[in-house]
Amino acid sequence: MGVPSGRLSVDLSELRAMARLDLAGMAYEFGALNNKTAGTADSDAETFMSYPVSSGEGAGFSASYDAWSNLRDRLVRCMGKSAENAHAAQQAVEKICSMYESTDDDAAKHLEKSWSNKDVNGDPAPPPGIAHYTNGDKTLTQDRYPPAMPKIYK
Amino acid sequence: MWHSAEDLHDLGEQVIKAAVHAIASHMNDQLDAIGEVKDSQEPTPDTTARGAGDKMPSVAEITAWANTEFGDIPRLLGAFGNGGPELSEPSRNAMWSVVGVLDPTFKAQIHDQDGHLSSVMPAGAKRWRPDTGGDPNITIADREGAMIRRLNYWRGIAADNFNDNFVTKIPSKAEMQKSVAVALAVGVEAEQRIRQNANNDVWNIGQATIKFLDAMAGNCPASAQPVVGGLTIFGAVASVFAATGGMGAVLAGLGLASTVGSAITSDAPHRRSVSIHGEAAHATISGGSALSAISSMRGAIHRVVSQIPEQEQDLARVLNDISLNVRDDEMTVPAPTDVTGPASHTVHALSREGADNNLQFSPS
Repeated sequence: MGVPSGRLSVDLSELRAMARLDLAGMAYEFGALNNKTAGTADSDAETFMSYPVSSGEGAGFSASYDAWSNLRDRLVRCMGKSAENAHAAQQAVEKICSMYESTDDDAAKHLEKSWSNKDVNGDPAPPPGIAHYTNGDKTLTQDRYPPAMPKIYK
Repeated sequence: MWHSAEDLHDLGEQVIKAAVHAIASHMNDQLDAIGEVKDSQEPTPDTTARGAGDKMPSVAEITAWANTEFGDIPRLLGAFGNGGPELSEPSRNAMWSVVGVLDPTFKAQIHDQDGHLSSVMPAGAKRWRPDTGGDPNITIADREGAMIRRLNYWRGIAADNFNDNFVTKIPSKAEMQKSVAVALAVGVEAEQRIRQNANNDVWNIGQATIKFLDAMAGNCPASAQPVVGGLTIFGAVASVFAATGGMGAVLAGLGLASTVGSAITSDAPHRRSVSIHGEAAHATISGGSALSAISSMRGAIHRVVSQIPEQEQDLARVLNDISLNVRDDEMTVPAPTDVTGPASHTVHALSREGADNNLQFSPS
């Protein structure tokens, strides 16, 4: 006894959306947060220079700097690890999806057809309707694939 | 308002001019005072000119002397004009943007110097958001909600593990990341408040000194001149953390409210008067001569300078306390080991909901 191919392809499409849209989007978002937070290090010298400072004087850091930067660096690492774990989950769900797909040729065909969608520019795009997010009474749409996870700062 | 290095430098020069004016207006009294202070030092217009029948020093001579004696004042004041708020803007905006991405509904307000609440993001300020390829308003919570909905299409051991050990854990991790990001953003605000208050205090000290010296020059009784508003550098950090609104909830969630209280109302005698709401310490410019007035001014500035590291250490204590009370796993999305395990072993474990709900989906 098996599962009807049509239904299976719908189910697998949702699984694939979880991987390629939800988890990929989440991995990218945590990665971007990691980058943004890590980027504050570029202005540490200006933000936390010892004060008051005479012009031309080589300024040290304020007494609060070590505590602030240590906490910032921890948050950077945790955001980075969150991105990597979301990415790992994405890969795991993709793998599960592939395993199901390999068991049913018809379901695989249906799945590939719905996931070969192109946007108006001819670029690959998620299947219409698969990525709707509700936020209150608004429906938000993921109309492009999330970018690849950025380089993570440790 | 931030007073620039140039403005403070100019203020220092005005202090010197006011001192010269006060000395020239009360030559005898002032020169007596100068003589007492400068007795053992190099000849100055005062001591060399003193004597029966000798002419008094000219204003030019007094000015030349004052420029030597007080020449460091413009630079001393000007140093407080470097390090303005524009330098911390990148970090400040970055951290508030991070907070906004983790929780778009978060509204933080901070007490300004007058005790009024103001938004931490100026009206119209554009926040950074990562471009994930969809509507910019899609949140991490939205994605978590979508995954829970999609899990309706996937049932079984792996799905349950995925739901219980991964998906449902995400919101609390993001929430903790937001709380720490808030603490960091507030930390930047507090560091800037320390500087802003010191900048204002030094400006007011300079103004009070000029006012005192002008009164002295104008034959008015030069009564002690209070520094307007007192020295607000005292309690600068406390004034930022005494926040309400959304941030208050975040701080309470971190156990930060009590942490801030204990950090800032420590038993150190010089800080006993500083409460969570911050209290101004008073300073006055006084003295019987221009020299003693300038000395009084230097003393007041020294109090400001000594408070800067004290306030920064208060801030460091708060941040260190947060760091000690938050574990990495509380702000890290977990590894999906419970999903990858079954996936890499057998599809039999990946049962799906089927017609009889016991259906094991397996290769044909």
